Amino acid sequence: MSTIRCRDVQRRFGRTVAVAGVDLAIAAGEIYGLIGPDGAGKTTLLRMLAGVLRPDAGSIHIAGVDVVRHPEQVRDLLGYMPQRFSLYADLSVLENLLFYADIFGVRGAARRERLERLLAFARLDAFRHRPAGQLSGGMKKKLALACALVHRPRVLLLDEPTNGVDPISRREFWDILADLHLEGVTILVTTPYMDEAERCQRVGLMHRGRILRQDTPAALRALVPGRMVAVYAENLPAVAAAVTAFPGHRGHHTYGDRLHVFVDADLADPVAALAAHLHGRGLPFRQILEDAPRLEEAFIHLLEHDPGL
Amino acid sequence: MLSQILNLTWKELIQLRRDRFLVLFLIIAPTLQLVLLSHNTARGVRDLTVAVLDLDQSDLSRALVAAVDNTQEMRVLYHPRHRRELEALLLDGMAQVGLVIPPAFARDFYRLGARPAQLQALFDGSNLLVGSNGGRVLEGVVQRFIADRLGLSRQDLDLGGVEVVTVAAFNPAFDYRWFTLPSMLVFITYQVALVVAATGFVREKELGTLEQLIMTPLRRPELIIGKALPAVLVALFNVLLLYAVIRLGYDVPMRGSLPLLLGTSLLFILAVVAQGTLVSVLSHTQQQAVLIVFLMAILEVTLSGYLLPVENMPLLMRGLAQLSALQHHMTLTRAVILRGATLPMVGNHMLAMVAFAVVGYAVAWRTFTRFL
Repeated sequence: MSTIRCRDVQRRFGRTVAVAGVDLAIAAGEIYGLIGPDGAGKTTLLRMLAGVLRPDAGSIHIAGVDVVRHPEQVRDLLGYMPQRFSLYADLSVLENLLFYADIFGVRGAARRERLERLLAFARLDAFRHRPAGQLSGGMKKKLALACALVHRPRVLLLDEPTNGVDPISRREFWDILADLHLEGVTILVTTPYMDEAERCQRVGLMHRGRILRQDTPAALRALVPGRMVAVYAENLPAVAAAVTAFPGHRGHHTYGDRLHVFVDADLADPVAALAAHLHGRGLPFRQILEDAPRLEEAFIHLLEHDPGL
Repeated sequence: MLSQILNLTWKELIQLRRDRFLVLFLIIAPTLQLVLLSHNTARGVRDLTVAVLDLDQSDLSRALVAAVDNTQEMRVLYHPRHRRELEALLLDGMAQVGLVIPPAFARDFYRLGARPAQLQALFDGSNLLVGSNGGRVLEGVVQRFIADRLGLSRQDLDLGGVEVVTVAAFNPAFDYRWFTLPSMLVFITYQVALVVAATGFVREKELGTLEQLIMTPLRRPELIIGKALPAVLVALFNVLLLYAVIRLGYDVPMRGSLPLLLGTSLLFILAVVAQGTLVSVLSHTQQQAVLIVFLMAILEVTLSGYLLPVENMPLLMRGLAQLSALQHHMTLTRAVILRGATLPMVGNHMLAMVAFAVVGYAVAWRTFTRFL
């Protein structure tokens, strides 16, 4: 039985359709990443799951509770961190935590113990008396997560929790999520970062209010048709122009100091063939090898082939 | 339920205390306002500057000038020598009142001439208060002066031997501050309660924390009451503070019961906070909320009876004034403080405020549902 389950959830704002019918089934203890371009409807979907926004149609159940009918019944088992999770800037780190602990009825010795644990967990121990408004971006996000965790929710909904955070803080944040995952918390997280999506067990690509595809990161990467050859070269524009004439060429994009070339799967030795092709045109390259497509490329492929487009 | 409300209220109070500006706004500003407004929204005038053009230069005219100068309301500061000079003083605003004593004043006064003695007074008509009050004051001075000079008692002055003696009931000295200070106490309480309540929800809305609050186990009544309570407490504190100022600082008498005054003040605050909560729930930004509050305050003051007695308002306005919580509580407060009114005498006003509070919270409650 799925911990998060929704069927044909829809929501429009005026004439704009934000969520056009989404089905989700997320198992207990799963960490699920929701990914998609801006305006895809991720935030709207999460707000409906959290019970702060009523869907126009469809059903949502979290841990068996009908969220549309009884949003207040999931409050205790749900931790929700909105995109703009705001702390009370004039309250200190500890006061912010205390407030949420009080509201969620975490009291006495349990409260003390849990807050200490959260402060350590979020690496905020040394900053407990600092006003939340004076924390760095990454620390704010960690405090926000700590606040959302104060009541030990079994389900976490995180809306772009690491947006605008430096890579090191991002990594720390995900280490925390990994710990929670090991504790058995079910996590649904939206993210614009592909490396974060790779850390999820399953990923759903949302576009224009629908989930186009959902699967494990590996399975999604495998969706890119053909094989991929990476060419490391100085003169990438010339190489890019040359590969279009390569027989079996299906597409390409630059990726830093290299060009990713997608070719037909039935080519016997695409690396050798492409190397010969470039040699024939007098184009030098440093290195050429076959590589696995990235998640990002899988998504670009999926978006380009979205029948709704 | 109660502990949840207190959790929220406690957080609000910590935040209020942290906000230096707000502390200033809630404690120092009201006191200053009380003092400044009550002194300067004066019903009487003091120290009007007078320029006297004395063309008679007799003992009598000099005595008259001294008598004018001897009042609290007037100070003779200028002695122009020509009429043109006098007019220039008025024009420049150096003098607010001009007094012209014609050449034959003394002779005419003792009935030696053919015509009755005359005086001319010029007032700065661009200021209504100067005109209306200055005239009244000057008339009184001259009457007393004539009586003194002719050795008459004041009764003899009136032909019928009847003099109308005005006694200001409840305020024998007719001290305008007995009127303005209690009124200001109510107005400032109104303002503080309204602003604090009106920014309550909308601040969390702007911050984005309201969504988080909705996600907590706090239920709607707990949220609404928990948010309203800080405003009520702050406003009550203001009532006590300002009451102490007007009693100790200005010797305004307290003829009624203090518990009654505090009880009705609480009712009034609840009604005002209900309005503020509604504004807060309806607004999207703090700016909107403050602008709405500003408009409401202007309207309420107009209807309050502070600027113009309700009885003197046009019929429509008189009806609208019945819908003003400020009007009810100002009337009630003055009645309790100055006239010693008791519960049965102010019951109607109290009922009106209960009604406003109930309606305000009910509408705020209904409106708040839209978030879910």
